Amino acid sequence: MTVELRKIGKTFPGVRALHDVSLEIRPGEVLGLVGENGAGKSTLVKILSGVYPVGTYHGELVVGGKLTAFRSTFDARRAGVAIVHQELALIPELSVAENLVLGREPTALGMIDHEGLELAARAMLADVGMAELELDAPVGTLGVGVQQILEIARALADRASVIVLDEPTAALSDSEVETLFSLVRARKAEGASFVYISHRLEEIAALCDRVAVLRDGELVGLVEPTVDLVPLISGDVHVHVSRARARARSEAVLSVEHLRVAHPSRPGVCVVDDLSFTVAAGEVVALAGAMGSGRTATLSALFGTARAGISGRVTVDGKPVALHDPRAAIDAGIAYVPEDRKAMGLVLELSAVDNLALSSLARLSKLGVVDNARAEHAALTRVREMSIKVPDLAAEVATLSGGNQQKLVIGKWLDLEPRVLLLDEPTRGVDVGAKAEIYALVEELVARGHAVVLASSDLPEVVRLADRVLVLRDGKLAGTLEGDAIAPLAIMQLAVGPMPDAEKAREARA
Amino acid sequence: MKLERSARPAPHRDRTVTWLALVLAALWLILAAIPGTRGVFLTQENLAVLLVQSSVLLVLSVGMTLVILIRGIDLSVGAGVALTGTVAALVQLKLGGSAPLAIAAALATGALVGVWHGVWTAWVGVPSFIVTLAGFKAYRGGALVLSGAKGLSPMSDGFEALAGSIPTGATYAAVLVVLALGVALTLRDAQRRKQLSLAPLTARTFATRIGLQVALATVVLAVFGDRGMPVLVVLAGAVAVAGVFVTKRTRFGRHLYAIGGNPEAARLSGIDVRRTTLGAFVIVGVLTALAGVMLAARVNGVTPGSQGNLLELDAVTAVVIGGTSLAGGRGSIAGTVLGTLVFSTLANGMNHLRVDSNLQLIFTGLVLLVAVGLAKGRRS
Repeated sequence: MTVELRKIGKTFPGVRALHDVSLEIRPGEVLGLVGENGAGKSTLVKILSGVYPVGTYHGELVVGGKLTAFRSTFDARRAGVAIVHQELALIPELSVAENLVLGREPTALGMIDHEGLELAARAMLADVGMAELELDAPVGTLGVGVQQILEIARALADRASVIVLDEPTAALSDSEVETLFSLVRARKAEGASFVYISHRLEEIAALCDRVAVLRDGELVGLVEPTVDLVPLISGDVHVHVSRARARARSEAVLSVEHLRVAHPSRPGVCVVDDLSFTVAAGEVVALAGAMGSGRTATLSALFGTARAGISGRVTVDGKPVALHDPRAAIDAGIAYVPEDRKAMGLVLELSAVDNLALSSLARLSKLGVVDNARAEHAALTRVREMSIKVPDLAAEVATLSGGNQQKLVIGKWLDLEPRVLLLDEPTRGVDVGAKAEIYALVEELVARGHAVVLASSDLPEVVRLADRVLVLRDGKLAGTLEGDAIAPLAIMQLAVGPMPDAEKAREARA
Repeated sequence: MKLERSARPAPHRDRTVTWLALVLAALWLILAAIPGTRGVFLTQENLAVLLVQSSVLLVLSVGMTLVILIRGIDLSVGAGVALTGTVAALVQLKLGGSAPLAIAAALATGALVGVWHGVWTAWVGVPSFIVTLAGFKAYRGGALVLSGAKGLSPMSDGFEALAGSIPTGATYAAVLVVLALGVALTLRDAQRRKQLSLAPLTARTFATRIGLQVALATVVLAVFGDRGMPVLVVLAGAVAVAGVFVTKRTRFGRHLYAIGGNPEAARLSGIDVRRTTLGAFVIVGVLTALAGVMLAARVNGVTPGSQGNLLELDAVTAVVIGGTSLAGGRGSIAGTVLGTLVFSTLANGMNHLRVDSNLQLIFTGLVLLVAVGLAKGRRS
């Protein structure tokens, strides 16, 4: 089925989001869609999938040769267009199985057919290579990466003929990405087409047949995936991926000894198992490893947000830190940039000023009364310094792009001059330009003597930023890489561990 | 460091508040114009009555706003009004205490109730709906037990003074002092912005702020200037002004918005969610006691079985009409004040129109729905 977008245009109050975009999605192809945040990718696929109903945009949508008007996502699904959103749309309280079959539960005489449900859910999990996942686990207890895969499983099960994947790999580990790719290729061979949005250009090159490039709401290129996309995407900015090296070492700022974090629901299992490391001032130590290897668990334990079952000794500048309370961590000089900025980093209803002041209100007030002018001044300074693009300091941050939101989350800590900065997936879902800026920012913070612990599934990012890489596997330290030994392949090998059948599996897939 | 003036100053753009002010003005004009009210609505006399009638509800609504902002609710304030009123009356009638002592006892009771709610909500983790639903039952029962289920009246002289008015001179002085403080704060803001090289307040913002303050003061003086302001209105006004200040300009207030918007992000930013929650409930408790004292003074006694009955729902209604979201994080005291006035105006107007009290209930219910429905429509 061919889907054709003809002269699509859309404006939001004061912003032209899309202008005259015409694009064809052919059957059995993977069409890459790239562009910086705010270039119009999400808007385009939201029109394609009925999120923005007919009448809210200009232009025509032709599906299978027929002029079509989607009034809702439901209409789009019926016509065979499904979208997997960047934001997770699962219900955290429901189980894996219930989420998978949500809205199409198998029933018998009006009652839920539990066996049928389990069967369907198992088949869907097997489809995405996660057959071993517990069906009864509440989705909320799983990592973001696993949730993302469930979401993809749901769309695939629809047997839609056009599937839009919006940043599907942002939270996936490399092996999970491979699983996803082989899935996409298999469906493609069956005639399904995909629109694949990603900031990771190497993924675009590996997976896509054609690439559409958007810039400022206009289609600026429809090219082969082998073309160098960066100049097209950014106009002129050249992204330089190299490592800054040879930083002066001093003594340890952060020291972690025998950190253990118990699994929240499985007794006897540790998500972090006897981890010890130190981070010096001006050093970036990266935690790498597959999803669920203990990267995020380590950071949240250090910041005192894990609820229970933590043991070990953590010191900042030699002073012990209590591990039960974020406040204690902050007072000790630790700052935390969590992986999910919308759920954990920002108050979306509040303005940039309020969000930046969130952790430093004590400094901005006297006798409990906030000096609003000073808060705004501090925010303005921060916004300039970090080149955060906000149309208006008083606007709700919900309207900002991912990159700018992320900068706000980092920025809210800087007034406190933290000794240790914990960064969890700091560039997840962030465009190329903002990514480079965030890297530059981290470099600058390190140069100023902050100690940084980076947890990331983005290997180029780890290679780019880290002085030392601790590779975790099942909560344990699998190995440490330093200096020139830091390379994607080396990290992956440690993360995956000895796998005699790896070669065979790869051959089987190919 | 000199900063360019690219970012505009945070404009006050709470459209709900503007919109509500227009609705209130329209209501007043309509009620003044239609023949059914026989021209008495917009008289000094009636407006004074209207404001006195609103005062108890306003105090409760301001407190309710704080807990609703943090995604909570307090269903116990109506029963709390009875309980604290009973405590005050008993201190006077049974123990022979003075009015100040009776009031202090009531306020202390309210504060304790607030601590109780806060601990159950923030430390034990029981939803405030349940905690205060329990209170809704228990405090009414407590009032009945303490009083032996008998009406308590009359209150003593000192207490009755609360139902009286302050002298005209004091009225002028109070209004002018508050106005001066308001203007001074605006001027200070302007000066601070200049000091810090922030974009200056626009002439419009400046004029709007000062203009509003002057207009408010004028209205208040027009109504009360030659008769003296009722103490109940003084108290309600003070609570409203303090409420605006606390929510907009204190750390505690900003924390309320952060917690209501995203409790997890607030916690991870180092905000003590539990202590802030406790604080909000204690303030509501104290304001409930204040309302209890005010109502006892107004009706000169306490009927433990019915005093303050369903006031908690009236307060929620006023807060919601005022644009505060039950989902937390959004809303304002200014909106609540206007919401309360709209609510009271409708009641007052319907009385003048001789609308049957049962029909009034139906109408008030519809107004709540329409107000929230319209607010939704405007937002999306």
